[in-house]
This record gives sequence, structure tokens and C-alpha cells, in this order.
Amino acid sequence: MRSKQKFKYGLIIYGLIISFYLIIIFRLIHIQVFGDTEISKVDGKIYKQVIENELNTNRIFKPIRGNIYTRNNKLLATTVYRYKIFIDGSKIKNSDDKHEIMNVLFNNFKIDQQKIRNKIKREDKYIIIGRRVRDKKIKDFLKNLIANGVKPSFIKNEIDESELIIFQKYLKKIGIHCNKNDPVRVYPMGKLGSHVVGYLNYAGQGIGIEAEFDEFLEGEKSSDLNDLPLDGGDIYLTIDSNIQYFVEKAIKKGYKNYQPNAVSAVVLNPKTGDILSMANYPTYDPNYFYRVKDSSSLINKAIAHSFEPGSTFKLVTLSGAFEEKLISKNMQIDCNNGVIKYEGETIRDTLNNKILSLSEVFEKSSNVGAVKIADMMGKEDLYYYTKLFGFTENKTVALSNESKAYVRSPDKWAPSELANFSIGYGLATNLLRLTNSYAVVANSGKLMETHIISKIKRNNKVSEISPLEIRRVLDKETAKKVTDILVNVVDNGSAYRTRMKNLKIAGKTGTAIVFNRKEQKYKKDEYIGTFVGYFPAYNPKYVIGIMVNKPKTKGYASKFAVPIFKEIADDLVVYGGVE
Amino acid sequence: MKKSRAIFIDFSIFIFFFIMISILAVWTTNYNYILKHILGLILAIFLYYLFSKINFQYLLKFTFPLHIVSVILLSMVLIPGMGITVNGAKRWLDLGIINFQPSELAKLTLILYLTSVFYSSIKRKNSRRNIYNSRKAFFVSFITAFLILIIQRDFSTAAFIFSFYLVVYFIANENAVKLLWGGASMVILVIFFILNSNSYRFQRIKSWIDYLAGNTEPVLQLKYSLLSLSLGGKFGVGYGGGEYKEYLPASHTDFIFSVMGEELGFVFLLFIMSLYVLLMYKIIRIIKKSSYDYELYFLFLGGYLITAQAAINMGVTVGLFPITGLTLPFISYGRTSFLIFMALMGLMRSVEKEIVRRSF
Repeated sequence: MRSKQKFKYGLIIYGLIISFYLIIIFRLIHIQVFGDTEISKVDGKIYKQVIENELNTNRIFKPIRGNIYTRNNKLLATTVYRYKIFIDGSKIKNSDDKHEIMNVLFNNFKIDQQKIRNKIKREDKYIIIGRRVRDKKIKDFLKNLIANGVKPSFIKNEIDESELIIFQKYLKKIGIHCNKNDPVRVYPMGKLGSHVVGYLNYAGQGIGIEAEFDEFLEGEKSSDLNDLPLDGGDIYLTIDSNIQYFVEKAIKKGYKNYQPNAVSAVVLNPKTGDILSMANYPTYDPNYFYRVKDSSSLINKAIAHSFEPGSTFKLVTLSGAFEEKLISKNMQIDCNNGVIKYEGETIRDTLNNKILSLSEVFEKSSNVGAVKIADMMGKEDLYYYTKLFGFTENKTVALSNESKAYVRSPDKWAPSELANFSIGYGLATNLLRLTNSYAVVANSGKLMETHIISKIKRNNKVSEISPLEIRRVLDKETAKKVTDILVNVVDNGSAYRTRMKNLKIAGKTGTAIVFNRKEQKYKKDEYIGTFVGYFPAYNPKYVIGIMVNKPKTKGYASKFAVPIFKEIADDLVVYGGVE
Repeated sequence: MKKSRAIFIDFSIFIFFFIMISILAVWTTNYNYILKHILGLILAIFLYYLFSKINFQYLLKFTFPLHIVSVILLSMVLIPGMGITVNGAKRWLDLGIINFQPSELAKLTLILYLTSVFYSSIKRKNSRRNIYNSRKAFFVSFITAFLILIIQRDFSTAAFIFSFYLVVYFIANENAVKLLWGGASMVILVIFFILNSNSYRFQRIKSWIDYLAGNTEPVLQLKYSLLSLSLGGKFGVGYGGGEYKEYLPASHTDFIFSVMGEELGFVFLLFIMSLYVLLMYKIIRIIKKSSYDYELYFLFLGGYLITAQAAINMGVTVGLFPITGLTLPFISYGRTSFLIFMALMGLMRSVEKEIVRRSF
């Protein structure tokens, strides 16, 4: 017997199925009769990326490398895609649209028409039209093809992004291949900031931010077809593009005037430790790093070049003695006619200085005076302050290729080494560390960590990098006393060339003879001139360090380092609104 | 005996239209397969004739061993050299001449098995025997679905096959609590699926849910399917003129509906759908005249298999379901599927003949 109840229940099931059919019909009316695919209204960004990835990377989903910007949002490094276009002559020859295709090709690309025609006639399968074609040109090309009727019938006069992939597949079928090449790294600002930004070569090795933050910039690729890759993050440097421009202009001029091996400069914000500019000359354009003949111009000498600082290092001797209250402002120091014998080592001044005030010792950069002050401190204290100022730290900034600090501990010193050390010999540092030690005084005694990155951005999440105080090196009072003396150096002493009317500048020059490693001795005619200064002296905004390596012009740092400083300072006064 | 009359429209009329549509559809989507397909169709017609001669009541006695055979076939894809791996899933058996998909056969044998179990458990009034039988039916359905899930990694077919049990349970109307039991086991199946599936499979469902919620664009296949449907409009771009079929994966099986929609338009799709609805109506008409519960179970389940699978396949092309591997009955390329559906139709015809003969 057939049960009526069961029949009713069966009908319920069928009723459900029928209702599904009705829903499908509604959807079909929606899609087919009213033409609404509900696709256009959705934010298609992610989808577009998937399509592009599919199109370009044979379904290996590669991330997009992050950009590098300056602190004022100027683009320093970015990634662009170029296209390779080639045609299949055997397909073109037999195509109905042969003439239209050739017309569009010849109108859009500068190519040898006769050659291409011959190749098509020969039915070559691989005829190159262009290897590194820009995005815009490809779009024009595709538009022209459509305008000339080379298109599948379903494509209207304009194509949207989602139809592009189909159109390109269609083109492949008729013998036109537009393939995205590997990404190309582009540096829109060229030489500006090139030593900081750096580059990567094809093997993935390189220098600068590009190498140091390679993993962060690169992102992570995904092997799963339905996962998006993790795109690389963007890096915002602390470099200010305008200041960088002033600095590069000034060191280039200095290089031309004094013809040294190299000029380097660093500009710091003493209050935050931000590196506002870092530049070297000779420099290079990272877009064409492979064309550089002299590989030494690729090196960021401001951090990679180790040298004996000479007189600029007297800052540590002076500050240490002040902090330990061994000397006072009004003190008189006998400079013994400019010669002193210290534990068998003879130290000379450039002038025959007699009795000088403390201020004059630094104005005239008397070595004898400095040695006498250091003698009061003793080697333990001198080393202690050297360490406090950060001269023993090997990594001061997040950039590769930084030279290691060379400072020997005092128990290994020869008896006479205290004298040499106090005037900046027997230790090696780089320009950044030297400049940062002046920033300590400028920042009323606090040592800040130097930063090259102001913020990083990934997936719209921004992490700002905040200033970090490492330690207090000097008392506020001591810092002010040191500044007084450094102001006098500019006002009355060796750095007189950078004097300004309404602006107090503090700074110290240094001319260090270079130790020639080949000949194992100091050569009189090879020297490195440095000048580090900050302004406005009592509320500093900028600390600038200049290093001129082995100039051909004879003279002291006051002659070739100070003018470069002045050049930069003049521009900064206008730009930075310094009174 | 004279040739028995058909109720409503003759099955052969349906077969004629389905075969015409199927040839049209496979020809335009995949020209290379058309000869194979037509050979399969001829074999299928023969099979329909053969099955319509079978004494259905007699067949019911062998449903359990039949189903066991198809379950064994199902497991045989694991034997090295027998199974063919396509897209990472083992679904085909290499039988020399023809590659055979055992899960399609399992659909038919499970329907027969469920019919006999539920019929016999009602017929005998012994209640202990009842319970034993319906539990056995549950376990057999569950294990079949489970095997398809494990071996073939095919969730859609597994869930669909298990739904047969739920449907026949609902129709048999034994006990609401037991139905809940069935629902719970479905949930277990789903949980197992989630634990067992790799991220790709899970992602496919997730992206579909995202699409329904309006958060993201549909996945590529669905997007092409929607674009091709919208291009077709009311009357289509013309037979053979479809542009998207080359970019649509599995256009000759899973997405044959959208290709038809593009080339022949909304009106033709309505025609296809109306065929299924008419078939459903015919089945209801036959059931109305039937006198035994086993006829009712079998016809309802058979109709459910055809029309619900069609609904799922069509639903996928318009974005109502996540993308599955279920074919469009009687139309998609896929000879195992076609043969099985024709065999099912043949059995329905045999039942119909029996009912018609009885009513005279």
C-alpha cells in the first residue's frame, strides 16, 4: 500500500527543489535580462591583483616590492613593470586582420617596417617588437588594436580590467604576445640619496637600505593559488630631500674646488638623532649602478670610511675635563712655545703658542694644550668619556657596510699614547659617529640613537620610529660650557670662514695626517680635513659633519671643510627658518 | 502483452531532448570529445532499454550486494595502476576501454539500497527489525559518503550522497528525533571535512561566502561564468559564438550551463530548466498512480537525484553555491554520469510500466 502521508512529504522535498529553481531563474533574469553581474560595484582591487598576478607570473603569486620615500614623502625607489612584445609571423600572415595589425604595430612602435614585413613573410615564430615597453605604451597599443577592429566580438569599444586578461589571451591566439617582464627597480630621484638608498644587483646582493631591509621590502610570495602574497612594506627615511639636495650640491662644489679623493657630509637633528642627510661625492646613479667604473664611488664613505679624527676629537678631551671639573673657563694654560715632550713622544702645535686661555687653546687648536688637559684626566677617564660619546660602538645606524670602531682599551696603551689619543690619533671612527658626538653636546649632553628610518608602512599599518635616548653623557651645564668654547672657535678661531652675522655657530675643525698603510708611516702631504658644527649654537636644529679626504689643495680643514659647511648652513638657514 | 502506455510525456521524449541538448553543448564546448561522447550516448540508450526490461521488484532483493560491489569499486581507485588521478583527486577507475567513475555508480546503488531497506522495514511490523534496518541504512550511507570524502576528496558528492538518506528518512516519516540524528551526523561529516581539507578547499568556500556577503569579487571561474551569462542576454550570441568558453575551466562539465547561456541565451536556459521540472512533474504523476511504498521511495529518490543535482550545478554557475564537481544531469560531458542517469531512467521506466500495467 502506498502511504498518502509519505507522498505529501515527498512533495515537500520537491517543493524545496522547485523553489531553488525559481531562485536560479530570478538570478538568471537579473544577470541575463538586466545584464547585472554584480561585479562592477565591488571594490575590485584584490581581484585585479590576482588577475594581474595570474597574467604575469604564471600563477606564482609574487609580492610587490615596497617603495622607499624620504621623510617628506618624495619617492626614492619604486618598482615598475615593463612588457615584452613579440609576434608570431606564421599566425599573423594568415590572419584576416593582417593589415590592421601591421598598421597598428608600425604606428605604435619605432621598428624597421621592411624587416618586420620580411620576417612575417618568412613566418618567423618569434619576432621581437619591444623588450622593455612601458605600461602606458602597451595600453595605447591595445586601445589602437580595438579601435582598428582587432578584437573578439564580445569586447565593446572600451575594455575594463577584467576583460584585459581575456583580450590578451585572444591576442595570443592570433599571434600577438604581450608579456609582463620581471619587475624593474627604478630610482626616480637618481643620484639623490643614492648611498643611503643603495641598490640590489641581479644576484640579490647590494648595499644601502635596499640590501639592509631586503626582506621587509620584498614581502613574501604565496604558493597557494587562492592566497594573496604578502606585499613588501614601504620605508620612509629620515632623509629630507631638500636638505639632501643642499648637501649634495655643496659637497660637489667642494669636490670641484679642492679636488680631494672624496667628500662626505652628514646632517643630524641633535634632538631626535634623525639623519637628515647623508651624502658622499663622487656619487652614482642607482638606476645605472652597473655602469660605475670606479667602484669606490659606490661606497657610503660617511659610515664606511674609518679614519683618525684628529683635532675634532678634542671635543671629548674638553668635555671630559669639564665634566670632571678639572678645568674652568678662565683657566690659563702654558703651551710651552708649541712643543711638548710626553713620555718620549714629541707633540707640536702649528704655531708657537705661549700662555693661552682655555678658549684660545681650542680657537688655535693647540695640541700642547689638549695634551696637558688630558694629562690631568688620565687615560682611564679619557677612555671612559670616549666610550660614553659612543666611539666604541660598532653599529650606530641600520645601514650595511658600517666600519667597525677602533678604540683600544687603556690597559693596552703605550705610556705616550694618552697624548696622541687626546688629540685624536690612535683611534679610528667614521664621520657619522664623530658627528653624533657633537650632537651630544648640541642636545645638552644626551646621546641619541641615530636613525635613518622615520617610519615603516605595511598593509596600511604605519609604525613610527620614535627618538631613543641612549644615555646622558654630560651635565647640562657642562654642555653649555663646551658650546661656549666651540662658539669661540667659529667666532675667533680656525672656523672663522663660517661666521654669520645673526647666527651663533659652534664647531671644531680637524686636520689629521693620514697613516699610510703601505709605507707604515704618516705622510705629511696626505690628510683628512673634518669640520663638525651645529647651529643655532644654544638651541641647535642641525649638526653637520664634513669630511674631506686627501685634498690636493694645501692647507687646513679651515680652508676646505669649513666653506662646505658654510655653503650648507646658508641654505639651511633659509630652508629651516633658523634665525 | 501490448506495449504499455506512458503516464504524461514518454521518457523517450525527455531522452530525445536531453541527448540533442547534450550533443549541442559538448560539440560547442569541446569539439575533441564529441565522438567519444556520441559513442557514450549510444551505449547509454542501449543501457536505458536494458534497464527498462528489468523486473524492479526482483532487483530489490539484490540491492545490498549491488551496493557493496559499488563501494568496493569505490575503494579500488586506491589500488596502484587502477586509479587515475585528475586534479589531485582519484575519481576514475581505468577499466581498459572506458574510464569509470565509481562514485556515480554508488549514487544509483545507494538509492536502490535505501529503497529496499526502508520498504522492508515498514513492511515487516517487527519493531526491533525496523530499528536494525534503519540503523544499517544510516551506516551504509555514512560509510559510502565517508569513503567518497576520504578517497576521492570530493566533498560535494559525499554530502549529496548522504542527503539521499536524509531525504528518504524525511519521506518515510519515522521519527523526528531520528531525523535530528541524521542532521547531526551531517554536521560531523562537515567538521571532519574542515579538519581534513587543505586550505585550498576551505578557501574556495570562504571566498564564496565572502562573495555572497558582497565583500569580494567572485573567484575567477565564477566571474567568467557570470560574465558569459550576462553576455548571452535573452537570446544568446548565437550557437558556437561563445567567447568565454575557452577561458572557463571545465566548460564541458561543470560550467556547460553558462556556455549554453552565453550562446543560446536566457530563453534556452529556461527550456533546459523546464525539461527538469517537467520530468519532476512526470515522476509525481507516476507516484500518484503507484500502489507500493518501494515505488514511491525509488521514484522520489531518483527524481531528487536528477533535479537536485541539476539545481546544484546551475546554482554554481550563478553563484548560489560554491564551486562543486557535480555535473548537469543528461547534458554534461562525462560518460559514467550519463550512463548512470540513463540506467536510472530505464529503471524508472520499468517501474512506470509496472504501474501502468497494474492500473489497467
